[in-house]
Amino acid sequence: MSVNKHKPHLLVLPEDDPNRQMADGFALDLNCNYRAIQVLREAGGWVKVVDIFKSDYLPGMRQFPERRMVLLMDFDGKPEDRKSFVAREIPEDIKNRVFVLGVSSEPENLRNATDKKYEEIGTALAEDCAENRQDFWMHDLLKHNEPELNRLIEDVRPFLFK
Amino acid sequence: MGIAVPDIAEFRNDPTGKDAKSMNVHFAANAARLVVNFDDLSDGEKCFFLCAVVLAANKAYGPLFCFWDEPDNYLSLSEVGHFILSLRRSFQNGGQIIVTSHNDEAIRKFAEENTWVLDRKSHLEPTLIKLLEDIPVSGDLINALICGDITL
Repeated sequence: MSVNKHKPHLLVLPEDDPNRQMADGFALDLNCNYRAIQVLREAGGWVKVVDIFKSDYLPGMRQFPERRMVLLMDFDGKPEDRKSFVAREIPEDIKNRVFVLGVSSEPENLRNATDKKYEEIGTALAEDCAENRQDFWMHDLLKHNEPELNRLIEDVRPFLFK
Repeated sequence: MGIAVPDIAEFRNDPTGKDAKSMNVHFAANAARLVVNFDDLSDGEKCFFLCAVVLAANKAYGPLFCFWDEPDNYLSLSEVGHFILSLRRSFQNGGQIIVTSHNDEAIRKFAEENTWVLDRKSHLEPTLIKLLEDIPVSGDLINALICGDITL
């Protein structure tokens, strides 16, 4: 069954295929309520993530108050600049339900640094969330996500993890 | 099965008589009931039933080896992703599942290290097979597949 849009659920809009594989790996973790998460088609670039979010998903975000979205993108070595830019593009009325996460450089670097496949990285990140720890999330290429991750976990844990 | 079809109550064979091997599906919701012969379910609903059987069998007396040719056939687009994920999750801790697909949503539920691409130039040549991660794909995989740009 598709996600129930009237119940709490999370849409993930990945920038590209490596990010999509990580998101699917997250949903594959057995602790994750995979029926409350939907990984969308890759946007094809971080700018397109923002564009597609605004053009295709803003109306749904406003129509369905139980909907959350993760914009999953590469930060290409400048996470704070990019996060600031993206944050300015998210309307105030839904800001508390939109989360921007990603590798500080590129997923390929994380894969090489951890010697894990993309799906395995996603599953490891989900395991961290399920067990209320941040071991993998504290990797050098991911730790910049901490404030956003804390905000996300607080919001989604009740419906996304057992 | 109950998650995908929330109003399903039970599957039941007629207890006796000439139709004893006829399977009926009982739906129930808000005190209303409906009985439908299994043959009259849609193809998509039959696929959900098969999926439930596979998941239950793998859990009850697995590990199983399951080969499913195009499990995404007949499913609505909103169901395909979760359908594939449910199968993959079931086989994570035991057994093995191999599925074939032409469906982009189904293909997207696998990763480059567990997706094989099969290609055949003609009926007179053998089918070639290669792991997706060993094939250079520039840009979007699905677009490349649609354009026929991936050949082995």
